[in-house]
Formats: sequence, structure tokens, C-alpha cells
Amino acid sequence: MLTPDMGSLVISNLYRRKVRSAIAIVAVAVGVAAPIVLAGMTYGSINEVLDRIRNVGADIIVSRTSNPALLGVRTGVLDESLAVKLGTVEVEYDGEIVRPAESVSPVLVWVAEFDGRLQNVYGITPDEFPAFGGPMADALVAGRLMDGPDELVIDDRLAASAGLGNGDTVELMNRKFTIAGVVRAGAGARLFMRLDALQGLTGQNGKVSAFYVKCKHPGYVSVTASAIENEFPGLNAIAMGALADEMAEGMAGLDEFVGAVTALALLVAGLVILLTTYTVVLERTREIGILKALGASRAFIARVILSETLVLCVLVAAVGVGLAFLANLAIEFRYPLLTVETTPGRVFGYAALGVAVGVLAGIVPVLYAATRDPAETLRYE
Amino acid sequence: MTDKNALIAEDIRVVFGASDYRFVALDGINLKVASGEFAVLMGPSGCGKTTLLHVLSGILRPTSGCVWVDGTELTALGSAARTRLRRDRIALIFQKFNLLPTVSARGNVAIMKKLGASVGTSSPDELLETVGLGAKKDNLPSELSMGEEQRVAIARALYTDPAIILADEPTGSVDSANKTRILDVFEDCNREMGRTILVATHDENVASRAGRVIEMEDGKVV
Repeated sequence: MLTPDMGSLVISNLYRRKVRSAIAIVAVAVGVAAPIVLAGMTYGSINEVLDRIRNVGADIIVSRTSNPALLGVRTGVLDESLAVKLGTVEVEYDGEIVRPAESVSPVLVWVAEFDGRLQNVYGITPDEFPAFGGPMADALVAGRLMDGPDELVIDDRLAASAGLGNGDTVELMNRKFTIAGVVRAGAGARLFMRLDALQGLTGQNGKVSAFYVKCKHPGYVSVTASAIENEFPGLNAIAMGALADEMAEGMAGLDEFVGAVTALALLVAGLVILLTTYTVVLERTREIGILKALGASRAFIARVILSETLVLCVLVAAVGVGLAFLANLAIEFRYPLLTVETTPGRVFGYAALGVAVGVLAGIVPVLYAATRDPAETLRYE
Repeated sequence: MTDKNALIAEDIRVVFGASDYRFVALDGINLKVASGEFAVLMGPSGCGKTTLLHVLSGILRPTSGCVWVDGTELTALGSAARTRLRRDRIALIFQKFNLLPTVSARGNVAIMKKLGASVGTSSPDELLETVGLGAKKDNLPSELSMGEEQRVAIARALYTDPAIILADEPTGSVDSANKTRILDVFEDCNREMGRTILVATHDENVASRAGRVIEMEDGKVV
């Protein structure tokens, strides 16, 4: 479309009207950047939650049917003593009766304000942390696990966000705590304390929100979950993988939300391109007339204007991607706990979509320009 | 001059507007310009000289009448074919120069090649030297005087080595030295290369260089 011969004409036209070109580029670039940032924040947050579930080392979460503990409600609705019973559940597997549970970790989930934000706090027995933390269990980046009732373990992102480190003292739920260790972010919550400490602090002695069951063999997981639900009416036992998938499915509506906002942003971007191209055509009516009077074909006029639109759109896409990265950096700087997930595929996709919408929007003014009669603009000179 | 006619206009009428606002710009023009002829159109402002040049070049389709260019009936052609014929056979020098404002003097000459026109042996730089603008090749039109713009427009017209040159007041904005230079160029094109030249002008000096003067008044050849 853009031949080298035409290139200089296109570039000089854009450069000559640099203020208008710059304003159009920035205006439309915001339209390209907005969906990249929005999608990055939405999917980043969702995937972070799902990763936290997937990274838990246990295989099954057992909670009250009506009370999904992972959603972070303030609750201690199950007796801690159930852990022993869950540990002795027997199932039939491959014709043999086995005790599938390798460990059962009782966890109390509470929501508390920390560093100005609400955070899930997991109360857990330190001995159970390796089983609960799974691949993250060895992720202690500083210090040690919590020993005493006044000690906390926090994850590294929260530590960085709050400017805290090993040995620092913090206030949580009106009580002073010392940070005993920092773990790599990724499993369960960002804040951990001893189960008995959280129970005491919240008046939930002997109560927990959920049990995390780790099985001795992957094949035991589904039969064990079924056996627990059969044996303990009112309890819900879900394999961790299935829970993550279930939650991902539940959040699928966000795809439509992101799609709608993207469409809106691109519509506005398209309208700006349409307006810009139409303005170009109007203000260059005389130039187009001159070119046609000199012998320019309709195709040549269309190519010049469309090439300008294309160059404009490519610049828009580049600036839009740049703006999106800057916005992501600003968001991560201002809100370090917010995960912004920007994949190359998504960035390229939105940039390409922005170029396509811009070029499509430019077609109508281009056709208008190409069919103008040169005499209209020149005969009254 | 040969017997063959480069331009023929038969009973050309051009009417702008309608009813109360109707204006007859050309009223039954009959004209023949032979191949290799250097002729001028003279007449008062508003007599229809510019409109006639636009009709002869195919920019403007007449309300009625026929135009032939080198044996091809221009008025029977569609828009695209008229555009091609104009690009390949006719060079137009406009009264208001009609330079592209965003490209340099050199770019304004070179644009003809980009439009697909076949070009002569002289380069844009050489042609700009010929019209005395060798030092301002890279200037934008906004950085040139009216006379300089006019000379760029002439260089652009000559770049395609056209069979027919239609010029509308080509010396209207230049000083006497440059007027002489431009007229010398036209004469060279006509005598040395056999180009057909039709110039609309008020200038008696221009008329004195031409082989024939065609007088116009109120949209008619008189």
C-alpha cells in the first residue's frame, strides 16, 4: 500500500501537521492502552487468586457446605478436632482399603486490616506449613516460620509494599506482632500466624474455617473427597485443582466485561481516527484537487490518505503500548499488591485491533476524498 | 506548426449554477490549436480563459460541446481516462500555482513521477536550475515568493515533457527578468521540442512571443 515513492509524501504530510498528528496519536493511543491495562489488571488479579489456590500443597479443601472459606469471610465454623477424624477416613482404592490422608491441616481464615488494606490472615500450625505450602513451603526468603503467638510470617510482596522486613514490629487486630519471616508470595494468603494465636485473638478457640488434606497418592484424591462428603454430611470436599477451575469458570463473566470495555475504548479510538481522517480530507480538499488535476488516480489519492491513516495507526499502536507499559509501571508502583498481567500476545492483539479499527474508520473519508471532483476545488480560483 | 490539431474545442458551453444563479462561463467556444503551435488566450478578467483551459485539460466537463486532444475525444472519456490523458499528454500551469504545501520545491516537481507520469530527460533539480531556483530546491512553498512558486509550477509542468502545455497567467507573479526567462523556456519548448503551448494572459509581452493571439470576451472567442 505504502510505496517508497509515496512514503516521503505521507511522512511529510504527517510531519507538517505535527501538532494535529501528535494530538490524534495520543488521543487514540489512550484508547489502545486502556484495554491493555484493564485486561492486565483484571486477568492479573484473577490469575493471582487462582495461582494462590493452585500453589497450595494440599489436594483437598474441606469446608462447611454453605461457607467457602477461601473467599475470606470471617469464620471459624468447624471444630478443629475434626482433623483427627478426617485423618482416619478410609477409602477403597484398587481393591484395597487405605487411609489416604498424609496430613490434615486445619486453617482459620480471618480478614483484618494491615498496612491500610484488608488482608486475609491464615491461622495455621507451623508444623503443617510444609504440607499446606506445597511448592511454596521452601519459599522462606528471610527469617523463619512463626514460633510464638506474637509472631507473623508475611509474603515478600506485602513486605515490599509495606516496607517491612524480618524482625519489624507491626500492629494487627489491635495487637503487636513481630515479623518472624518472609515467604515468597504465591500460596494461600499474604499473612500467616499461629492457628492458636488467631483463634485466641478472634474468640474462635477450637474452631477453624477449613481443613487442607494432603493425600498419599494422587489417585486417592477424588475418592477421598467423595468419602469425606459421604461420611460427614454438611461438609464440602473439593479437590484443589477443581476448585481453581470452578472459580475460573465463575469469573468467566469478566471476559465479557473486559470485551465490552475494550469494544467501547476501540469504538472511541475509531471515531477519533474517523474524525482525524475526515479533518485531513477536508483541510486537504485543495491538495487532493491539485493532485487529481495533475493526473493522480483515485487509487493514488486513496493510497496516500489511507497510508497516512495506517502510519498514524501504527504510531498510535506503538504509543498505546508504551502508554500501557507506563501505566502498568505506575499502577504497580502505587499499588504493589495489585498484579498487572501483561502478556505479549494480549498486547500485540490489542495493538493490532487498534490498527485495524483505525484503518477501517479511515476508509469512509478516504473514499470520499478519492471521488472528489478536482473541478470542485479549482474551477473558482 | 503541422496540419494536425493538438486541441479542438467544438461549441463548448459551460454553465454554472441554476435558475436565478445561472452563470454562463463559456458560450459556444469553437477553437483549434495545431500541434506545435504557440498561442495565447487574451481577454479581460472573467471572460472565461481559465474555465476554457480547465475544459481543454479535462479538469472540468463542459455543460455541452466536445473537446479533442491529439485526436482523442476527451469529453467522451470517463473520469479515470481523462485523468490519465491529462497526466500523460498535458501539463497544466495554474494561475495560483497549486503547489503541494507539505513538500519541497523539488518534491513538487518530482511528484509527477510518483503520479505515474512518464518524465523527460531533465531531472527535477535541472529543471529548477533552468527556472532559476537551483538554490531553493529544498524550500517549502511557504518559504518561496509568489514568483518563485510560479517558477516551481513551471518546472513541474516541464518535468513530464508534455506534448501540450496549458498555462494560466504563467508570468503574472514574476519580475521582468524572470518573465523573460520563463518565456525563453516556453519558446525553447515550442521551437526546439515542438510542444504545443496555449497560454492565458493579460500580458502583451507574452502575446508578442506567441504565433497567434486568440481574443476572448464574455465567454466567447471574438
